[in-house]
Order: sequence, then structure tokens, then C-alpha cells
Amino acid sequence: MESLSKQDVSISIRVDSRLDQVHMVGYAVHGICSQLGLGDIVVYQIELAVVEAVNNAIKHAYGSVAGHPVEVVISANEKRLQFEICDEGETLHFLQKKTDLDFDPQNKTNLPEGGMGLHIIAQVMDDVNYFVRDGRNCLVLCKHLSK
Amino acid sequence: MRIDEVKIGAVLVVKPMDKRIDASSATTFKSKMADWIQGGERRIVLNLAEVDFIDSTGLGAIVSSLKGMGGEGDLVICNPRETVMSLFRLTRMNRVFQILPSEEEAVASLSKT
Repeated sequence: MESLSKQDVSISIRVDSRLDQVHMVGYAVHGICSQLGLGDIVVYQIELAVVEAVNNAIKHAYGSVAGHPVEVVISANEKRLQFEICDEGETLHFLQKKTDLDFDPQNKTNLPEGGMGLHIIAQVMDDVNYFVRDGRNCLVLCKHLSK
Repeated sequence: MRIDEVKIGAVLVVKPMDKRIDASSATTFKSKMADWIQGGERRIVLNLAEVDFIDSTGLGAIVSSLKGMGGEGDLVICNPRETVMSLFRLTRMNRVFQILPSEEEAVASLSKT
């Protein structure tokens, strides 16, 4: 079987703004990344970052209201992987800010239960950009593939 | 979400049987854990052997369970896959939870306290 890394690939997935559909995006990302020969942990972390981005679109851009589109365009070539997550909901300006996950592991009463998604995305991806295009909010995540 | 449970001495071992603890299942997971904690369980082992994927919402539910214990007892995690373990490292939650490679070690750890 020919490796995906030898050719450009672009796949578009459209799901409804329901959290119970996000795993389908995750499985698609996982499958493509696995074909690129990336290690299990890298594949997991990339799937995780994209899932976090889609969760954000559903929870925050659409306020967890079903019936709205979330489109994920996955592009891959031998140099990089790109994930474009687009929605038509509220623009999330906080996505343009740097996020730190700062807490004291010994202080169990103040541990964060949320707000970890953006930190994960920033840790896993090499480039993260958020912008509005044609009335749609787009979060673009890039991962450079070293040879 | 199906979660198997077994009591070993004073320790409750809970084992999620679904492959994913994510934003769609985290509420159910959190609610079941809260039921056990409100029922008085203070020594809990969370066996992640069957779990392939946890996202930040799922992780938040695990953190919430620990906080729900109010500083009494402990919630010890065992059997995480290396992939899932990487989530704990990314978020530094590996410094919050005691994470052990086997259920036996986790139960023994909580039985000592």
C-alpha cells in the first residue's frame, strides 16, 4: 500500500454541531495521521488537538446548540499536515490569545477542570491561526513533518 | 457509558469500558463518579486499561472527581496507555495524580493509607 506521504491529500468532513459527532472527526484524523507513519503518541496528540478545536466550535461558537455545520478540511503532504476547522457561529476572539496553563499541582482545590484545550492545541501544533473568512470562523492548525 | 466497579477491601476500583472519555461522555462519567464519592467512597482506583482516548473535557471530569473528594482519601489512576499518558503530561496532570502501571499496585497504594 502506497504511503500517503508520497502524495498530496485533501479531505473535507462536515459534522453537525453535536458533541456526539466529534469522534468521527477524530477517527478520520487518526486514520490519516497513521497512514503518514507518525508514531502513536504523535497521532494521538494531533487527533486530540483537532478534537479540542471542534469541541470549541460546538461549545463556544454555537453555544452547544445542534443544527449548525462544522467543517474540517484536512490537507496533507510530505512536509506538513494542516487542519482547517470552520464554523458559522460566534467569533471567538479568545482563540487569538496565547494561553498558559498555570496551576499548582499540589493545591488540589484550585486545579483547572476546563480551559485546557487551547493549551493542548498550542503544545501540539507548530502554527495556529484564527481568522474570519467569508463570514466563517476558521481555526487553522499546522503540524510540520520532519523527514 | 458503562463503568465496571469492584470493591477490594476499602478501595473502589472503577473501570470505564468505553474507548473514549470525551466531551460527549464526560458528563455521564463525572456524574457516576460523583455518586460514588457522595456515597462515601474516598479510596478510588480509576483503571484506564480499556480507554483509548481522553480529551480535555474528559480529563476535566477526572480532575473534578478528585476535587469532589474534598482532600480526603485519593483517586489513583492505573493502566493508562502511553498515548493517554501523554495527555496527562501535556497538561501537567501527571504531577497531580498518582499514576501506576497496574491495578494491583494502585489498590496496594491506597490500602496503605
